[in-house]
Amino acid sequence: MAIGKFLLGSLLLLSLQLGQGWGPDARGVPVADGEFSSERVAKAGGTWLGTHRPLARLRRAPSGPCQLWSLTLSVAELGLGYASEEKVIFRYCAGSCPRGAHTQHGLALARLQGQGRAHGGPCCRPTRYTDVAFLDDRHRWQRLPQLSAAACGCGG
Amino acid sequence: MVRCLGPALLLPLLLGSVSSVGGNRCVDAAEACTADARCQRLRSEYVAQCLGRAAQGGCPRARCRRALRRFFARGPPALTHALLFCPCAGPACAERRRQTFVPSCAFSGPGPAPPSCLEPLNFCERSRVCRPRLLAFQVSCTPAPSAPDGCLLDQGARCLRAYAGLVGTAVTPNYVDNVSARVAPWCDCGASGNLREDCEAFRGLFTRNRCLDGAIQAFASGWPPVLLDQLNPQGDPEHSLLQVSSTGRALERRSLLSILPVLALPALL
Repeated sequence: MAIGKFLLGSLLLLSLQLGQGWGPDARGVPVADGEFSSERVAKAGGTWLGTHRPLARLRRAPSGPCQLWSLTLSVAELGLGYASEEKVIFRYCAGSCPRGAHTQHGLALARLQGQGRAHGGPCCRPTRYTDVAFLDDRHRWQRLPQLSAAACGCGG
Repeated sequence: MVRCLGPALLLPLLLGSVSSVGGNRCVDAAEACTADARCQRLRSEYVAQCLGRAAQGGCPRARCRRALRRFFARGPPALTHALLFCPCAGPACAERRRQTFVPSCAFSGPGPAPPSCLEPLNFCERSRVCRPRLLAFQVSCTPAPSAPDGCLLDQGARCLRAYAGLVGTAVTPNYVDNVSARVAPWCDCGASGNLREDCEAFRGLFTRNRCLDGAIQAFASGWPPVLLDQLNPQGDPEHSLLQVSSTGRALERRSLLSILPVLALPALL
């Protein structure tokens, strides 16, 4: 009986992974392209699906390095007041940043933070954005410039 | 009991991945384009250009049209055609289809009233960009009453590709309303004087073309495998344009106006 439940549970997890193209993802899926993801994915040794866990909505902090994540949302879910039947792809940056940043500011800040003399830490943020365009419910074109992230980096 | 519950729980999970079951086909096409990086980038680009403002007011028509030509030339044909030829049952879907390439900038204007068709036709004849595309359209969409799909040489798909090649030129066609799949360029034959027959013949290429109508219908019935057919590019519009322009050189001496009545005869019969 327990084995049956276990099999059912693993079948459910498998179907959630398979159907996650347009499915109800909480935080989205990491994107295979972009500056950071490809090397990290290669090291992890799996496909981009491998780093995402279906029960992720229970977790608080994102694990893994700073990378580009992708969410498929309806336009209303953007919360910007637009209404459209279309779904858009919203990309954002999240993940932990290693202490070694790439700028002089980052290096100095990392040292001070290590000594406890400065607040916070380097944060994962977008370095490039892309536009999003859609036809709204009144059949008028709307364009949201620089809405979605295109590449991520660790900033100071 | 566990065995009965299993499939019943799995089925709605798998079906939940289909975004709009029996809904708006044109919305499906828009989402399919959004999901593809290249299509999305080119689509955002033409929307950005066509929504812009020109120096003297109105929209930057030339840049808008150029971005549209790039969209149809460089975008994955399955996705770009799906956006242009999505089948519609209701006015909401049809209005979306009519608005798909920002017609307020790319299709109509600069004035409020459409010009005589002789005007864009003459411009096209003299344009390095437009002329080969119009020739390709005439060749690929030649109606043949005896053929089963209405097209000569069984080239419905090539006809649609040639039609898409006209979007963004001086003779850009679009759907005329949101209740039918009729298309026409933005011009009429009211003030064409003694060239009225030539004018009507040109308009007839879009409004009375069984091959074009049949090809659009056939695209609708081939939905949605069409959206998945990205691995089978049967040549892009640029490639097919090159093929036609080699035959087009032989016709260079004659003007387009003299060719039209010959090609329009089968349609009018």
